[in-house]
Amino acid sequence: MASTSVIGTYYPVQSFVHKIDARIKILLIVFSTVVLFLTDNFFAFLYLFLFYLVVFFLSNLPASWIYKAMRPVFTILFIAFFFQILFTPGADIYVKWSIFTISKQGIILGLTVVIRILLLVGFASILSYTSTPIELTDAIESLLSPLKILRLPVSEFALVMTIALRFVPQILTEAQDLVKAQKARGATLEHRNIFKRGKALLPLFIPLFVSTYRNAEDLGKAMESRAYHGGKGRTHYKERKLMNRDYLVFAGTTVILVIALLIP
Amino acid sequence: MLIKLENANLKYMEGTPFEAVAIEDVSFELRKGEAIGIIGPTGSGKSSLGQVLTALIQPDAGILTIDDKKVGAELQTGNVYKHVSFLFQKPEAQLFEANVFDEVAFGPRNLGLTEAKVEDSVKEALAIVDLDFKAYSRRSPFNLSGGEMRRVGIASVLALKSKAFVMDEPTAGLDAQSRRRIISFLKSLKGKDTSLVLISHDIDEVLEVCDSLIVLNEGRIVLKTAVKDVLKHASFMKGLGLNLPENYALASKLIDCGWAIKSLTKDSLMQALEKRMSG
Ligand SMILES: Nc1ncnc2c1ncn2[C@@H]1O[C@H](COP(=O)(O)OP(=O)(O)OP(=O)(O)O)[C@@H](O)[C@H]1O
Ligand SMILES: [Mg+2]
Repeated sequence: MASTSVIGTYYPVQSFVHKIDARIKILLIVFSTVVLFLTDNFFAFLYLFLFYLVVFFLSNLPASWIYKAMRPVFTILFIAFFFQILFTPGADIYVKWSIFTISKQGIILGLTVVIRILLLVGFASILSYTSTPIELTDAIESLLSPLKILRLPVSEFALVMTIALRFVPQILTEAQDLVKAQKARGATLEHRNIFKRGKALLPLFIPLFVSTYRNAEDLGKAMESRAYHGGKGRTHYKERKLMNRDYLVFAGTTVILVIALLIP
Repeated sequence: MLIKLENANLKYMEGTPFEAVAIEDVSFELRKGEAIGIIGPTGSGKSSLGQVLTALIQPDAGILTIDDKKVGAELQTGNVYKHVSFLFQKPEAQLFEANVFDEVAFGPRNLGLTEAKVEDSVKEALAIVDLDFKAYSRRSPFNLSGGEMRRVGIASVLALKSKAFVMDEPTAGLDAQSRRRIISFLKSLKGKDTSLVLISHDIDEVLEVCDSLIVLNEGRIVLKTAVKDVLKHASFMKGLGLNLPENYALASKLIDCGWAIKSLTKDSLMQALEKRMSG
């Protein structure tokens, strides 16, 4: 099957979660990140996981996409897990070998890190699956708008975000084609030697960099020729207003997240 | 049989709202020295089929054999490039080496040729695309014009000297002279027993280079015909938005009247006319 990576993709279906204002979703992601790092209680993790499943169910996404969202971080998780286990000094030692110790405390800490990252990626992926890139940029711009008083270029920052997000799918498609094109010329990525493997990536990264740079340059010129001159005075086609259900979701989820901190 | 594909299906992003059928129940055979054209409207699955034929995409269903070896079993996909190669739609987007020589030499070096043989291949490939070896081989591919980059990209695939090339619109966007040069090279492949699959929007080009052609529509093969019989299908093809140039009908009429015209293309017609007028 020819599959495309799902990072940065919006999943166009109708659902309750899709309808919630992206500003609320971003704020709630920030809250849940805080909660995830404040707690180290496994019952609280279980509770948050159940909450995640409920949100996922309400998002009307296919179940396989939970796995798709988490797959890219598996390697990092694996490394993080072993670092925690090997380098955490603990009282209840199972194995000791030179500077490495495997202790009960180390294993617990390793598991905690893995669970935190998985839940974090899980919640963040629901945000990107259920909000279009435009919704996300507008939300970021709106959330950061108090900083305009400090004369920070919030609109420009938000525009940069939109453009970056807009290029993600294109870069991914180009990368896929490049892998195939270089394969057709006999390139292999499967070298044992790490230096050779690094060198084998050049046929991918150089063209990708060149084309991204050209795209960006072309876009810049195109915007200039259409008289883009910064964010001042730019208006949005549709000013989004928060609705009752947004406030309700915000309040409800905040309560749910606070309860996680109260679990003994 | 050089390439044989049986009952292939391919969908992109299956099971998501983005699902797109690329090819459906397609079977295809390419013999040694044969040239087959693939035409069809945009999005009809031409590029996808080309990549399936060269094992760059694994179809959801279907069996691919190359050189009578089953791909995936008797022939590893990583080694398919030693038999057949695919030229991507925009080969200028795959350049990465510091100079044109190394760029074109990348494939031959991967094949494990000696450096002397590599140089021969590079020279030959650059000549085909009309780039002077001395003037270009030390230049950076990134400082060339768009058309020159395209030709370097094409050369870097030609240098593999495969038994079969699958080319995805190799002449689209080139100037007339480079275009003629590449077409005449494609025609010369036949003499070298090299097979060709030519994906093209330009029907004239396909009729000039190929023996037969298939028409794809919405992922299915809707027509298979020898090039010389193509006029019989003119109205069917028109229905798909594929118009045959008017001079074909004229050439065909003249053939019926006993004129000696080799093929239906404009060039053959012109030649025949010139001959008549001078003799
Ligand atoms: N990487 C991809 N991901 C998802 N869908 C794709 C992808 N590549 C192609 N498609 C879809 O598959 C179908 C066939 O595409 P393909 O590129 O094979 O058509 P084509 O005949 O080569 O078109 P063109 O003449 O424009 O080059 C189209 O509907 C296209 O949108
Ligand atoms: Mg195509």
